[in-house]
Amino acid sequence: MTSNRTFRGGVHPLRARHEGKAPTRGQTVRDYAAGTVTIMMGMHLGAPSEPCVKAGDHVKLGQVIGEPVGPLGLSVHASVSGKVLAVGPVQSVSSPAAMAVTIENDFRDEWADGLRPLGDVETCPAEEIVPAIRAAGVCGMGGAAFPTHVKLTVREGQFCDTIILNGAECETHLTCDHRLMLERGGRIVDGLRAAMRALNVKKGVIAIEDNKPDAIEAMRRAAQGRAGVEVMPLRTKYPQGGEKQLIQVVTGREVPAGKLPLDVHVIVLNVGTACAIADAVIDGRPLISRITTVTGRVARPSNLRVRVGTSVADLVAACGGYSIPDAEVGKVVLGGAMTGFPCPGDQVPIAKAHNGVVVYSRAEAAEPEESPCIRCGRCVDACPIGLIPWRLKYLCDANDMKEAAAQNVMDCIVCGGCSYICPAHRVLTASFKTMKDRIAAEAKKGKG
Amino acid sequence: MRTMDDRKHAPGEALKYGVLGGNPLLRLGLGLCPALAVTVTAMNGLGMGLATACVLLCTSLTVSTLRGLVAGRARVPLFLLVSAVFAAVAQMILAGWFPALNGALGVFVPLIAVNCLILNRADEAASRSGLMTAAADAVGMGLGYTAALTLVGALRELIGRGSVFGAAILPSGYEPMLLAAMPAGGFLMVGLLMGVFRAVASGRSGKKESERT
Amino acid sequence: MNLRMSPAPHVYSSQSTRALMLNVIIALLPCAVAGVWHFGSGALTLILASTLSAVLAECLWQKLAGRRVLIGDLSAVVTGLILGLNLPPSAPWWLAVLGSAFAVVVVKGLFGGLGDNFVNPALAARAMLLVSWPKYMTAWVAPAGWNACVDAVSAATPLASPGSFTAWQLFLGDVPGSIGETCKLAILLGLAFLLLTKTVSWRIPVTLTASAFAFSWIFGGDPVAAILSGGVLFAAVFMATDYVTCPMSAAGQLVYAACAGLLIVLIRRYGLYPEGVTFAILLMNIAAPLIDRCVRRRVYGHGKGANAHNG
Repeated sequence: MTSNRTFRGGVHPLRARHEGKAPTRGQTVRDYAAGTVTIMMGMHLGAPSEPCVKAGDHVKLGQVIGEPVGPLGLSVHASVSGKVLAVGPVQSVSSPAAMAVTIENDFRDEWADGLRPLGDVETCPAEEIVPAIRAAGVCGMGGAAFPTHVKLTVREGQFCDTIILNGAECETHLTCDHRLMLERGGRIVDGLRAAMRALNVKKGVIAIEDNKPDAIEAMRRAAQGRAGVEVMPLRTKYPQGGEKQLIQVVTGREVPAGKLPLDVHVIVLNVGTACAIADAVIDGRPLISRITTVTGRVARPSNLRVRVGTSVADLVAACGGYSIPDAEVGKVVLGGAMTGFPCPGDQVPIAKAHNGVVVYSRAEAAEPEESPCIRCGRCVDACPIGLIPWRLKYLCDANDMKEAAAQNVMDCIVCGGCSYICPAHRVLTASFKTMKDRIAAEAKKGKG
Repeated sequence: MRTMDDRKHAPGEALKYGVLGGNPLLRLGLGLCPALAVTVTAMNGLGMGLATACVLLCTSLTVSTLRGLVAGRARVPLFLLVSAVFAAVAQMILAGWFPALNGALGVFVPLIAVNCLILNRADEAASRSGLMTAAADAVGMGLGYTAALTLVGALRELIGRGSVFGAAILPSGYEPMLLAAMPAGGFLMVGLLMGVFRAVASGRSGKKESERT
Repeated sequence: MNLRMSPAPHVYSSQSTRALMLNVIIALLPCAVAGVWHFGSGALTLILASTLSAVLAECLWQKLAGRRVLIGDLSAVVTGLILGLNLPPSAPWWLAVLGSAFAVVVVKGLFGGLGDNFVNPALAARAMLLVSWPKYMTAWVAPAGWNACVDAVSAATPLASPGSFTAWQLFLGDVPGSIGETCKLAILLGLAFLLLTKTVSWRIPVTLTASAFAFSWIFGGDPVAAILSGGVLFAAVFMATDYVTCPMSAAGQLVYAACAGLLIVLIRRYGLYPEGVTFAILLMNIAAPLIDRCVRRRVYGHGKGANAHNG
């Protein structure tokens, strides 16, 4: 049943504890609506949107509250109906405060007018699919938050022959995609078919790691009878869900350095994104909610379907609060343990691409002390890209940008595998991320 | 590396520099070859050091006198010629009056002619300054080199044979470490001494040292 | 609520440096026990002296050099233990102390500490001891239990007098030799533990032994006796696998181990010493960075693989 093909390197974080997924993977998704939501304008990869409402306005569910700005701009919609409390900068998970719209939920969930459902994905006009996706403000929901309508735009001279749905969910702790596949498999396939029809693509592959046999079965049933759609089980290994690794294992092709998947005629979408596409096309509904896994030191770890903009504190409350005293909470991570972002506080709002919240106690949050590199080579074995992390670390420490770039630090996918496996607990991934940002900033300065 | 311009030209300064801060063997790394090969005993070290020092002094004085006559690329063959002459003289003196030492030092006596210490000082100091300065530099460097070689020789003899200058220091039950008598042991000893010297020197002068080098 | 803002990843492998070193120490215990079983009080003294001396020397050096004292990572214990197991059981205790101190301070500490030694510290110390006090380092006693070193019946090792021991004797260690290297059964137990705990990979031990076996047969010797005599197995499992001094790439490790096997056979056959393991491994340690440099890894997205796609 499992594909024998796999990528080189990789690690198995928390293997003995089922990758931290055991507490939440057996539970049905619960709906949750909070009293207030704070919707960030910059939830996507691109310029933050311009708010088009002001404090005191009454908004309906799905109403546009942020206009897209620039080529990678994306619309932002109200995720609840109610009164706009404030429009202003708010502390989010990234360091500088960013523009957001805070809305008080009146719990009436009145949908805005002007929704344009297109109906059945197999029969709707294909050329209207991508505009519908754009109007719905759909972006990548697996974490990258790239505007989906831009991803589904094929330029002159390019073509796409395969669309891959990423159901791998290789990150630790997260089970939101798993539950989505079990509960809304049909919609996921609808979303895939919509994307395939929009670009006239004949082949769609839903890739799922083999630690989710029930999801594989569910998606197989959902994909039956759907043209060109197949389900491919993959060997469980982190980071199988990384775009490059997924493309390599599913299609055998390698994305050249500095290029995009479309350059090897592949488009990769998260299963959550596919579901949002289906909602946008079939019902005309914009992206206003997502499933987020809340786990760790909370009383009842769960998968919650939450409105975009719900604060972490509200999510934790919906899970019965922290299972340890407030003072004992050491770290709150947005995402999974391998690539998640630490939160400065629990008032941080959930964005379109935040797929998990993991709460750590102080003891769990304590980082082990960094000790000298023993040249064991485990980091070299772990790197899925083929880099030599211990050598790169020395270059980053010496701030040698030129040599680090020559040693391909820009190809690092920041998966965290090397830092995870290092016996000396060296700070590898974070150093590479910093160096990559520095090199990119230098390049930008040089150009403009 | 400190040059002639950086420090005072007083003889006292030059002496101190040659023995401590600018010690040719332990700081500047000059004259390593004989240091590794012949310093099996303290006496060898002392003898080699003094022989080299004398040749250095004579060469420096001569080069200083002849400075200005030859310049550019031709100066190095001149230094070599001068030092070869004095090395030959030293070889004859050693063969005549210190035959045992001469035998122990062997081929390294004529090799004093190409000892990079002599050539380096001729190029850096003697060819650019007057007789007094050249002499002071040569005496300082020569003393420093001799002191270093004697120290290395004494330590190697102590560990390798249990004696210093032939006088047994360690009790007769001592098992000599044969490595100390081999060139490999010399390598290790010189390296360790360089490290100790550097640590002591930087400890004493602290910031002043790092500012100058 | 005071939340930590440490960067990803937020989970760490349980195999820390200390855990890895502890695994090696446990793997060495069968050899130590076998050594004491065969050679008695002398062996025990040496093992204890060398281990203690290594730890003390590292502690003193790190304090002197103003570095963080890191003896808790147990790497000094490993060095001391390996050196102790490499000594002839009748050697005086001060030999072990000096050797350990040399290994930890000169070979490891002076070059930068853990992770920066350019050759295997225990082996370099053994080489130094061999050259400095050859009379103690080449005196062997017959395995005779607890008083083997007290009675000190001098005997010839299997390498010095090949053919005078059966394969079974060689395998169980009932022969003269260094404390830890004689009992091959103990070494294999240690190897099994290291492989099970994923502390070392099979590549170097298997390749080195196979290479020594093959070349010994090619050069006309008895290959089974060759790998069962002297320190080949011990070195293959514990010394050639030292992380710091072996190449990091898989292909590099194979080359490294194969060349080491060849060198062992060559030094034994044509060299001055009956045992070639020490110098063979030291030479390959020095060559390891060169091997790493020659074996290039292809980075995803570069080179031939990246351009080979349909259409």
